[in-house]
Amino acid sequence: MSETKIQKLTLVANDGNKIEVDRQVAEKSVLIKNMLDDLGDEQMSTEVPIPNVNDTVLKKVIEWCEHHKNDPAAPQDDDSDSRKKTTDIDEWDQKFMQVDQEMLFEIILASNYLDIKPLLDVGCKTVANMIKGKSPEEIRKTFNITNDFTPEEEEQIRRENEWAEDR
Amino acid sequence: MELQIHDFISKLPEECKSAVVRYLAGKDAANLRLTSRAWRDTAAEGLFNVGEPYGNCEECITRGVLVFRPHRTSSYFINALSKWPWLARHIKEIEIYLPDKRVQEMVAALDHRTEMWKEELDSSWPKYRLQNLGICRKDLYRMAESFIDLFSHLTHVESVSAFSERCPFPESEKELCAFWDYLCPERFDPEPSFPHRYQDEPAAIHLFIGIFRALKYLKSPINRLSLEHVPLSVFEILHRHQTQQAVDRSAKGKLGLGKALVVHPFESTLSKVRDLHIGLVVDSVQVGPLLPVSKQGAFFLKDGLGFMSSLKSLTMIWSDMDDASLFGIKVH
Repeated sequence: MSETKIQKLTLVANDGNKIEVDRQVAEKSVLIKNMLDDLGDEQMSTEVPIPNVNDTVLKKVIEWCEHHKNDPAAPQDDDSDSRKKTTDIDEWDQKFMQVDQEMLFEIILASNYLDIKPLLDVGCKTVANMIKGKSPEEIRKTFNITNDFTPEEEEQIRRENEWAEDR
Repeated sequence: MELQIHDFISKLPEECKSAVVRYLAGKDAANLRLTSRAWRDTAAEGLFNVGEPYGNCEECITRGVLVFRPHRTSSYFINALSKWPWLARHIKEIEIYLPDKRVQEMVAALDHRTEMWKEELDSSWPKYRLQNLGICRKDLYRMAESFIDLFSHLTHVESVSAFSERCPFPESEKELCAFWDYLCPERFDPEPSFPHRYQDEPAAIHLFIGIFRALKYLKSPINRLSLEHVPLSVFEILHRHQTQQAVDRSAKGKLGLGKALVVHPFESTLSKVRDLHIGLVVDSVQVGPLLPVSKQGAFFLKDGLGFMSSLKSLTMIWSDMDDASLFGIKVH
């Protein structure tokens, strides 16, 4: 049986570029893993189209999956507080996420689509860390957000926010 | 010259935005919601992120749905809501999960029987998660009692549901969800016999009474009410309680005991309910033929339906009940 098992997959990005990866790497994506499980190896073509993701982004996502291919599926060891949320990101991931905002945005979208939860978490943490400690104006500058509030709306939210200020 | 022309993060899908907000402290969420309309409401949920480290109280509110789980405390949330009532605007739905006996028994047995369970369960056995669940009846009773206080702060709720058969753990708790699947193989039985047999009955009775008593305190009439596996005694107890109140009141005011004094908990708030789904079970108090007192409970429920003038859809499910005609319910 093991001879027939597919070991390599070819992922096809939306611009037609093909990237060959180990099955183990591709299976970091729950979407792809479920597809393999559902179809079975016999019916599965080794070419998997990824219509929502372009070549550059797909390469980047695969790079992450390659590096993390041996990570345990779920944190079993750390029994104390893995449930709690921290925004700590490991060093390799931090470097990996030093990209422009468009790429960061694309990585979050792609990991959401491909269902790669740990990568999605890293992406969201990275955005959260860019927001932390900044004033609203600084956040707008960082992400180029346009203030579309009327002065009245802004005042209203300020009043609502008051309680969070002294925490 | 401008390197950063586009505002990318505001274009993230709602679920990704929520995920970002979950990693922010309340103060940062407050600043984020001041940036633009795109973030005002999503980031409002982040204002609840006052725990340490962040994370909004085990995701008890996400995208307008306030969730009560039997293994989570909700007290801090209720405090926040009573202090800052405007937060209520962001709550459109309430979901309450009822405790399951099996989970409770598993946790209780953990200390003594770990070895045995270990053999029975596969490697994804989330022992450490279960140990942290801290199920406690007293907490559940407290939760039931807190509903009145909490509901009286809510202004925008449209739907209330209580689930008895659904997985009580949030999706993010993958291992606990898998554990739940392990516990519930009978869900796939072609003929599930008595799915409510795993209900933690005393707790369920408390919670349902808490819900029914609290419903009338909601500030807006709801249009959807869905309750799974309501033990019949709930209605008897409510009936007794209401009658007692009427007696007390008439004693105080020296009035005769008139029917008008009995305030039905279905009044007002439920007058706009369009969609009612209710499952009924005969609980262990009521094994054997239905007693007259149980009839009272049934009539009480029937009376209640009379207050629901907007009702468009009604589903009633009886489990274990020989004599459904007891209800003689007619909907006009």
